[in-house]
Amino acid sequence: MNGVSSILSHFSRLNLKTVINHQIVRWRKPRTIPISKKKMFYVRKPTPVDPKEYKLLQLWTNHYSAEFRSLRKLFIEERRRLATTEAEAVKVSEVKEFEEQLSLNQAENEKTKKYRENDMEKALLERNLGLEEKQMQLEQMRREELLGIEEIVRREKESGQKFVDPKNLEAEIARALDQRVDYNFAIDAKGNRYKGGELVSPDAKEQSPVVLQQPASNEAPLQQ
Amino acid sequence: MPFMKGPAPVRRTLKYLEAGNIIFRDSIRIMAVNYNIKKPCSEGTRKFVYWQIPQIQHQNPHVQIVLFKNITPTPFISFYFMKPDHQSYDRAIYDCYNKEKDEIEQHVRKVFGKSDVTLQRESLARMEKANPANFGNRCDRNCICEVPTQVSCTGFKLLPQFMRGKYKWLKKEELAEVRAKVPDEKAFEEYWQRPY
Repeated sequence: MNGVSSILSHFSRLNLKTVINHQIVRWRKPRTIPISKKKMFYVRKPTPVDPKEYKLLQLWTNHYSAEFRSLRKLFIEERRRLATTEAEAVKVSEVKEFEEQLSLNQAENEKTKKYRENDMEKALLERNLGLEEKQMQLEQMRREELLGIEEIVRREKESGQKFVDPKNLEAEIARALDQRVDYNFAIDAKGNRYKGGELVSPDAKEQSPVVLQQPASNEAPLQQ
Repeated sequence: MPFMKGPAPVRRTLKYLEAGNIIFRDSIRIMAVNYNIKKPCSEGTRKFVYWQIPQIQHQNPHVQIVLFKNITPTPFISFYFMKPDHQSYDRAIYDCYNKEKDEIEQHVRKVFGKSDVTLQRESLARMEKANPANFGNRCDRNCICEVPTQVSCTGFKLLPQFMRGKYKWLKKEELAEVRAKVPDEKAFEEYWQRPY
Protein backbone atom coordinates (compact mmCIF):
# COMPACT_ATOMS: atom_id res chain seq x y z
CA MET A 1 0.00 0.00 0.00
CA ASN A 2 1.12 3.52 -0.73
CA GLY A 3 2.32 5.59 2.06
CA VAL A 4 2.35 2.83 4.60
CA SER A 5 5.03 3.49 7.10
CA SER A 6 7.15 0.46 7.48
CA ILE A 7 7.12 -0.33 11.12
CA LEU A 8 9.20 -3.43 11.16
CA SER A 9 9.92 -3.97 14.78
CA HIS A 10 6.28 -3.69 15.80
CA PHE A 11 5.75 -7.17 14.46
CA SER A 12 8.78 -8.68 16.06
CA ARG A 13 8.00 -9.93 19.52
CA LEU A 14 11.34 -9.26 21.07
CA ASN A 15 11.94 -8.89 24.78
CA LEU A 16 14.79 -6.47 24.11
CA LYS A 17 14.13 -2.78 23.89
CA THR A 18 14.75 -2.70 20.15
CA VAL A 19 15.48 0.34 18.10
CA ILE A 20 12.53 1.20 15.89
CA ASN A 21 13.49 1.80 12.32
CA HIS A 22 10.59 3.44 10.51
CA GLN A 23 9.86 5.95 7.82
CA ILE A 24 7.24 8.59 8.62
CA VAL A 25 5.01 9.47 5.70
CA ARG A 26 2.74 12.52 5.73
CA TRP A 27 -0.66 11.17 4.64
CA ARG A 28 -2.26 7.83 3.87
CA LYS A 29 -4.58 9.24 1.16
CA PRO A 30 -3.44 11.08 -1.96
CA ARG A 31 -4.01 14.83 -2.03
CA THR A 32 -6.35 14.59 -4.99
CA ILE A 33 -8.92 12.55 -3.02
CA PRO A 34 -11.40 14.75 -1.06
CA ILE A 35 -11.88 14.64 2.69
CA SER A 36 -14.28 11.89 3.83
CA LYS A 37 -17.90 12.77 4.54
CA LYS A 38 -17.55 11.95 8.19
CA LYS A 39 -14.61 14.24 8.66
CA MET A 40 -15.78 17.06 6.37
CA PHE A 41 -17.48 19.37 8.89
CA TYR A 42 -15.98 17.87 11.99
CA VAL A 43 -15.08 20.45 14.58
CA ARG A 44 -13.17 19.27 17.54
CA LYS A 45 -14.18 20.22 21.01
CA PRO A 46 -11.51 22.32 22.62
CA THR A 47 -9.78 20.67 25.52
CA PRO A 48 -11.29 21.76 28.81
CA VAL A 49 -9.11 24.34 30.43
CA ASP A 50 -9.53 25.77 33.87
CA PRO A 51 -8.75 29.48 33.30
CA LYS A 52 -7.37 30.09 36.78
CA GLU A 53 -5.26 27.00 36.64
CA TYR A 54 -4.17 27.92 33.17
CA LYS A 55 -3.05 31.37 34.29
CA LEU A 56 -1.15 29.96 37.23
CA LEU A 57 0.49 27.29 35.14
CA GLN A 58 1.42 29.88 32.54
CA LEU A 59 3.04 32.03 35.20
CA TRP A 60 4.90 29.12 36.75
CA THR A 61 5.99 27.83 33.37
CA ASN A 62 7.31 31.26 32.43
CA HIS A 63 9.20 31.55 35.70
CA TYR A 64 10.60 28.07 35.30
CA SER A 65 11.68 28.69 31.68
CA ALA A 66 13.27 31.99 32.62
CA GLU A 67 15.24 30.39 35.44
CA PHE A 68 16.25 27.45 33.31
CA ARG A 69 17.30 29.71 30.46
CA SER A 70 19.33 31.95 32.73
CA LEU A 71 21.06 28.97 34.32
CA ARG A 72 21.87 27.47 30.95
CA LYS A 73 23.32 30.77 29.73
CA LEU A 74 25.28 31.15 32.93
CA PHE A 75 26.79 27.70 32.61
CA ILE A 76 27.64 28.19 28.97
CA GLU A 77 29.33 31.49 29.69
CA GLU A 78 31.19 30.04 32.66
CA ARG A 79 32.35 27.09 30.62
CA ARG A 80 33.55 29.36 27.84
CA ARG A 81 35.38 31.61 30.29
CA LEU A 82 36.92 28.68 32.11
CA ALA A 83 37.95 27.11 28.84
CA THR A 84 39.78 30.26 27.73
CA THR A 85 41.38 30.92 31.12
CA GLU A 86 42.27 27.27 31.49
CA ALA A 87 43.74 27.25 28.02
CA GLU A 88 45.70 30.39 28.79
CA ALA A 89 46.87 29.02 32.11
CA VAL A 90 47.88 25.79 30.43
CA LYS A 91 49.77 27.69 27.73
CA VAL A 92 51.62 29.78 30.30
CA SER A 93 52.53 26.72 32.32
CA GLU A 94 53.71 24.92 29.19
CA VAL A 95 55.88 27.84 28.16
CA LYS A 96 57.39 27.95 31.63
CA GLU A 97 57.99 24.22 31.64
CA PHE A 98 59.67 24.42 28.24
CA GLU A 99 61.99 27.15 29.47
CA GLU A 100 62.95 25.03 32.45
CA GLN A 101 63.64 22.07 30.22
CA LEU A 102 65.77 24.24 27.91
CA SER A 103 67.91 25.33 30.86
CA LEU A 104 68.33 21.66 31.85
CA ASN A 105 69.31 20.92 28.28
CA GLN A 106 71.89 23.67 28.45
CA ALA A 107 73.34 22.19 31.66
CA GLU A 108 73.56 18.78 29.98
CA ASN A 109 75.31 20.36 27.02
CA GLU A 110 77.88 21.96 29.33
CA LYS A 111 78.70 18.55 30.85
CA THR A 112 79.08 17.01 27.42
CA LYS A 113 81.19 19.95 26.30
CA LYS A 114 83.81 19.23 28.97
CA TYR A 115 84.61 15.70 28.00
CA ARG A 116 84.11 16.43 24.33
CA GLU A 117 86.75 19.18 24.48
CA ASN A 118 89.07 16.88 26.47
CA ASP A 119 88.76 14.19 23.84
CA MET A 120 89.25 16.67 21.04
CA GLU A 121 92.40 18.05 22.71
CA LYS A 122 93.83 14.58 23.11
CA ALA A 123 93.03 13.73 19.53
CA LEU A 124 94.68 16.97 18.41
CA LEU A 125 97.79 16.27 20.50
CA GLU A 126 98.08 12.77 19.09
CA ARG A 127 97.67 14.09 15.62
CA ASN A 128 100.30 16.76 16.23
CA LEU A 129 102.70 14.20 17.71
CA GLY A 130 102.22 12.01 14.73
CA LEU A 131 102.87 14.93 12.47
CA GLU A 132 106.03 15.83 14.40
CA GLU A 133 107.30 12.28 14.09
CA LYS A 134 106.64 12.29 10.41
CA GLN A 135 108.37 15.61 10.08
CA MET A 136 111.41 14.29 11.95
CA GLN A 137 111.48 11.24 9.74
CA LEU A 138 111.30 13.40 6.67
CA GLU A 139 114.14 15.59 7.90
CA GLN A 140 116.22 12.52 8.67
CA MET A 141 115.62 11.23 5.19
CA ARG A 142 116.60 14.57 3.71
CA ARG A 143 119.77 14.67 5.79
CA GLU A 144 120.71 11.18 4.67
CA GLU A 145 119.99 12.18 1.12
CA LEU A 146 122.22 15.20 1.49
CA LEU A 147 124.99 13.07 2.99
CA GLY A 148 124.68 10.67 0.14
CA ILE A 149 124.90 13.52 -2.28
CA GLU A 150 127.93 14.92 -0.48
CA GLU A 151 129.57 11.51 -0.60
CA ILE A 152 128.97 11.32 -4.31
CA VAL A 153 130.38 14.81 -4.75
CA ARG A 154 133.42 13.93 -2.66
CA ARG A 155 134.05 10.81 -4.67
CA GLU A 156 133.72 12.71 -7.86
CA LYS A 157 136.07 15.36 -6.60
CA GLU A 158 138.56 12.72 -5.61
CA SER A 159 138.29 10.99 -8.87
CA GLY A 160 138.52 14.39 -10.51
CA GLN A 161 142.03 14.69 -9.21
CA LYS A 162 142.95 11.70 -11.31
CA PHE A 163 141.59 13.32 -14.44
CA VAL A 164 144.01 13.66 -17.25
CA ASP A 165 144.99 17.19 -18.16
CA PRO A 166 146.94 18.23 -21.19
CA LYS A 167 149.78 18.93 -18.77
CA ASN A 168 150.14 15.40 -17.47
CA LEU A 169 148.93 13.69 -20.57
CA GLU A 170 152.31 12.29 -21.58
CA ALA A 171 153.02 11.08 -18.06
CA GLU A 172 149.62 9.40 -17.81
CA ILE A 173 150.04 7.69 -21.13
CA ALA A 174 153.47 6.38 -20.08
CA ARG A 175 151.96 5.24 -16.76
CA ALA A 176 149.09 3.46 -18.39
CA LEU A 177 151.38 1.69 -20.77
CA ASP A 178 153.66 0.66 -17.95
CA GLN A 179 150.77 -0.51 -15.74
CA ARG A 180 150.11 -4.18 -15.79
CA VAL A 181 146.85 -5.58 -14.62
CA ASP A 182 146.42 -9.15 -13.58
CA TYR A 183 142.87 -10.48 -13.80
CA ASN A 184 143.97 -13.99 -13.00
CA PHE A 185 142.26 -14.33 -9.65
CA ALA A 186 139.32 -16.24 -8.27
CA ILE A 187 136.38 -14.59 -6.50
CA ASP A 188 133.85 -16.00 -4.14
CA ALA A 189 130.28 -14.93 -3.52
CA LYS A 190 131.35 -12.39 -0.95
CA GLY A 191 133.74 -10.67 -3.26
CA ASN A 192 136.93 -12.03 -1.69
CA ARG A 193 139.67 -12.60 -4.20
CA TYR A 194 141.92 -15.63 -4.20
CA LYS A 195 145.14 -16.07 -5.97
CA GLY A 196 147.06 -19.29 -5.80
CA GLY A 197 144.67 -20.53 -3.14
CA GLU A 198 145.40 -17.60 -0.91
CA LEU A 199 143.19 -14.70 -0.04
CA VAL A 200 144.55 -11.63 -1.69
CA SER A 201 142.59 -8.88 -0.05
CA PRO A 202 140.09 -10.18 2.49
CA ASP A 203 138.64 -6.73 3.45
CA ALA A 204 139.11 -5.10 0.15
CA LYS A 205 135.97 -3.52 -1.14
CA GLU A 206 137.61 -2.03 -4.18
CA GLN A 207 136.31 -3.04 -7.49
CA SER A 208 139.48 -2.21 -9.33
CA PRO A 209 141.56 -5.12 -10.62
CA VAL A 210 144.74 -6.22 -8.97
CA VAL A 211 147.44 -3.92 -10.03
CA LEU A 212 150.85 -5.45 -10.44
CA GLN A 213 153.84 -3.52 -9.37
CA GLN A 214 155.14 -1.16 -11.96
CA PRO A 215 158.29 -2.57 -13.46
CA ALA A 216 161.37 -0.49 -13.53
CA SER A 217 161.85 1.53 -16.63
CA ASN A 218 164.85 -0.62 -17.80
CA GLU A 219 162.88 -3.91 -17.68
CA ALA A 220 160.96 -5.07 -20.66
CA PRO A 221 157.16 -4.86 -20.43
CA LEU A 222 155.21 -8.08 -19.87
CA GLN A 223 153.76 -9.58 -22.96
CA GLN A 224 150.18 -10.58 -22.64
CA MET B 1 53.38 -12.81 1.25
CA PRO B 2 56.97 -11.93 0.16
CA PHE B 3 59.50 -10.16 2.33
CA MET B 4 59.46 -6.39 2.33
CA LYS B 5 62.31 -4.85 0.37
CA GLY B 6 65.07 -2.69 1.72
CA PRO B 7 67.16 -2.63 4.89
CA ALA B 8 65.15 -2.99 8.10
CA PRO B 9 61.77 -2.61 6.37
CA VAL B 10 60.03 -2.90 9.73
CA ARG B 11 60.67 0.84 9.95
CA ARG B 12 58.11 1.30 7.22
CA THR B 13 55.32 -0.71 8.83
CA LEU B 14 52.35 1.15 10.27
CA LYS B 15 52.58 -0.63 13.57
CA TYR B 16 56.18 0.50 14.04
CA LEU B 17 55.46 4.07 12.98
CA GLU B 18 52.50 4.43 15.29
CA ALA B 19 54.57 3.13 18.18
CA GLY B 20 56.61 6.34 18.14
CA ASN B 21 56.29 8.17 21.44
CA ILE B 22 58.00 11.48 20.65
CA ILE B 23 55.35 14.10 19.88
CA PHE B 24 56.92 17.53 19.69
CA ARG B 25 55.58 20.65 21.34
CA ASP B 26 53.45 22.85 19.11
CA SER B 27 56.09 25.56 18.90
CA ILE B 28 58.76 23.34 17.33
CA ARG B 29 58.98 23.71 13.57
CA ILE B 30 62.32 22.28 12.39
CA MET B 31 64.63 19.53 13.62
CA ALA B 32 68.10 19.42 12.09
CA VAL B 33 70.42 16.49 12.86
CA ASN B 34 74.16 16.82 12.20
CA TYR B 35 76.06 13.55 12.39
CA ASN B 36 78.98 11.59 10.94
CA ILE B 37 78.88 8.29 9.16
CA LYS B 38 82.10 6.69 10.41
CA LYS B 39 83.20 8.37 13.61
CA PRO B 40 82.64 6.36 16.83
CA CYS B 41 81.43 9.42 18.72
CA SER B 42 78.50 9.65 16.30
CA GLU B 43 77.36 6.04 16.48
CA GLY B 44 74.50 6.66 18.89
CA THR B 45 73.21 9.51 16.75
CA ARG B 46 73.44 7.35 13.64
CA LYS B 47 71.32 4.67 15.27
CA PHE B 48 68.87 7.28 16.50
CA VAL B 49 68.52 8.60 12.97
CA TYR B 50 68.18 5.11 11.51
CA TRP B 51 65.54 3.82 13.94
CA GLN B 52 63.72 6.83 15.39
CA ILE B 53 63.42 9.40 12.63
CA PRO B 54 60.70 7.47 10.72
CA GLN B 55 58.62 7.29 13.88
CA ILE B 56 59.20 10.94 14.74
CA GLN B 57 58.23 12.14 11.28
CA HIS B 58 55.10 9.99 11.31
CA GLN B 59 53.98 11.38 14.64
CA ASN B 60 54.95 14.96 13.71
CA PRO B 61 54.03 15.40 10.06
CA HIS B 62 54.22 19.20 10.26
CA VAL B 63 57.79 19.34 11.58
CA GLN B 64 60.55 19.56 8.99
CA ILE B 65 63.36 17.09 9.70
CA VAL B 66 66.69 17.74 8.00
CA LEU B 67 69.77 15.51 8.14
CA PHE B 68 73.33 16.77 7.59
CA LYS B 69 76.02 14.14 7.15
CA ASN B 70 79.77 14.65 7.67
CA ILE B 71 79.62 18.40 7.86
CA THR B 72 80.56 18.98 11.48
CA PRO B 73 83.20 17.08 13.48
CA THR B 74 80.82 16.12 16.30
CA PRO B 75 77.13 15.19 16.24
CA PHE B 76 74.32 17.39 17.55
CA ILE B 77 70.62 17.99 17.06
CA SER B 78 69.21 21.49 16.73
CA PHE B 79 65.58 22.49 17.12
CA TYR B 80 64.09 25.68 15.72
CA PHE B 81 60.95 26.76 17.58
CA MET B 82 58.66 29.78 17.69
CA LYS B 83 58.80 32.06 20.69
CA PRO B 84 55.59 32.70 22.70
CA ASP B 85 55.00 35.95 20.82
CA HIS B 86 54.70 33.94 17.57
CA GLN B 87 56.76 36.55 15.75
CA SER B 88 60.31 35.37 16.14
CA TYR B 89 61.98 32.02 16.48
CA ASP B 90 64.77 30.61 18.60
CA ARG B 91 67.18 27.73 18.31
CA ALA B 92 68.17 25.11 20.86
CA ILE B 93 70.96 22.57 20.43
CA TYR B 94 71.45 19.21 22.04
CA ASP B 95 75.03 17.92 22.00
CA CYS B 96 75.05 14.21 21.12
CA TYR B 97 78.79 13.57 21.44
CA ASN B 98 79.29 9.92 22.52
CA LYS B 99 75.62 9.54 23.51
CA GLU B 100 73.68 6.31 23.10
CA LYS B 101 70.54 6.08 21.00
CA ASP B 102 68.22 5.52 23.98
CA GLU B 103 69.78 8.41 25.88
CA ILE B 104 69.19 10.76 22.97
CA GLU B 105 65.60 9.57 22.58
CA GLN B 106 64.80 10.06 26.26
CA HIS B 107 66.35 13.50 26.39
CA VAL B 108 64.65 14.71 23.22
CA ARG B 109 61.31 13.45 24.48
CA LYS B 110 61.75 15.08 27.88
CA VAL B 111 62.90 18.47 26.67
CA PHE B 112 61.26 18.93 23.28
CA GLY B 113 58.34 16.49 23.38
CA LYS B 114 54.94 16.79 25.01
CA SER B 115 54.69 15.25 28.43
CA ASP B 116 52.26 12.43 29.28
CA VAL B 117 50.11 14.88 31.24
CA THR B 118 49.79 17.20 28.26
CA LEU B 119 48.95 14.35 25.91
CA GLN B 120 46.29 13.06 28.28
CA ARG B 121 44.81 16.52 28.67
CA GLU B 122 44.65 16.95 24.90
CA SER B 123 43.04 13.57 24.35
CA LEU B 124 40.40 14.38 26.99
CA ALA B 125 39.68 17.69 25.30
CA ARG B 126 39.29 15.90 21.99
CA MET B 127 36.97 13.36 23.56
CA GLU B 128 34.88 16.12 25.14
CA LYS B 129 34.45 17.75 21.79
CA ALA B 130 33.45 14.52 20.09
CA ASN B 131 31.73 12.76 22.95
CA PRO B 132 30.25 9.55 21.56
CA ALA B 133 27.58 9.65 24.26
CA ASN B 134 26.08 12.81 22.73
CA PHE B 135 22.92 12.58 20.69
CA GLY B 136 21.25 15.13 18.51
CA ASN B 137 21.59 16.84 15.19
CA ARG B 138 25.22 16.19 14.25
CA CYS B 139 25.81 13.09 16.28
CA ASP B 140 25.71 9.38 15.62
CA ARG B 141 22.29 9.09 17.25
CA ASN B 142 19.53 11.56 16.63
CA CYS B 143 17.43 10.80 19.69
CA ILE B 144 17.99 9.15 23.06
CA CYS B 145 15.33 6.64 22.14
CA GLU B 146 17.83 5.08 19.70
CA VAL B 147 20.15 4.06 22.54
CA PRO B 148 19.68 0.51 23.79
CA THR B 149 18.35 0.29 27.38
CA GLN B 150 16.70 3.70 27.08
CA VAL B 151 13.00 4.39 26.88
CA SER B 152 11.77 3.69 23.35
CA CYS B 153 10.46 6.35 21.03
CA THR B 154 7.29 7.70 22.59
CA GLY B 155 5.93 8.32 19.10
CA PHE B 156 5.48 4.56 18.74
CA LYS B 157 5.49 3.04 22.17
CA LEU B 158 3.42 5.13 24.54
CA LEU B 159 4.52 5.42 28.12
CA PRO B 160 2.19 4.11 30.82
CA GLN B 161 -0.61 6.58 31.50
CA PHE B 162 0.62 7.53 34.95
CA MET B 163 3.82 8.88 33.33
CA ARG B 164 2.06 10.94 30.67
CA GLY B 165 1.15 14.57 31.25
CA LYS B 166 -2.08 14.26 29.29
CA TYR B 167 -3.48 11.88 31.86
CA LYS B 168 -1.83 13.49 34.86
CA TRP B 169 -3.20 16.96 34.25
CA LEU B 170 -6.14 16.66 31.89
CA LYS B 171 -7.61 13.21 32.37
CA LYS B 172 -7.21 12.62 36.06
CA GLU B 173 -10.42 10.61 36.44
CA GLU B 174 -9.49 8.21 33.70
CA LEU B 175 -6.07 7.83 35.26
CA ALA B 176 -7.65 7.08 38.60
CA GLU B 177 -9.81 4.41 36.98
CA VAL B 178 -6.79 2.84 35.30
CA ARG B 179 -4.82 3.00 38.54
CA ALA B 180 -7.60 1.21 40.36
CA LYS B 181 -7.34 -1.69 37.94
CA VAL B 182 -3.59 -1.80 37.40
CA PRO B 183 -1.08 -0.36 39.90
CA ASP B 184 1.74 1.86 38.61
CA GLU B 185 4.53 -0.70 39.03
CA LYS B 186 2.66 -3.32 37.06
CA ALA B 187 1.88 -0.84 34.33
CA PHE B 188 5.59 -0.03 34.16
CA GLU B 189 6.56 -3.69 33.95
CA GLU B 190 4.01 -4.23 31.27
CA TYR B 191 5.47 -1.23 29.42
CA TRP B 192 8.89 -2.87 29.24
CA GLN B 193 7.46 -6.16 28.15
CA ARG B 194 5.37 -5.00 25.26
CA PRO B 195 7.08 -4.26 21.95
CA TYR B 196 4.88 -1.32 20.95
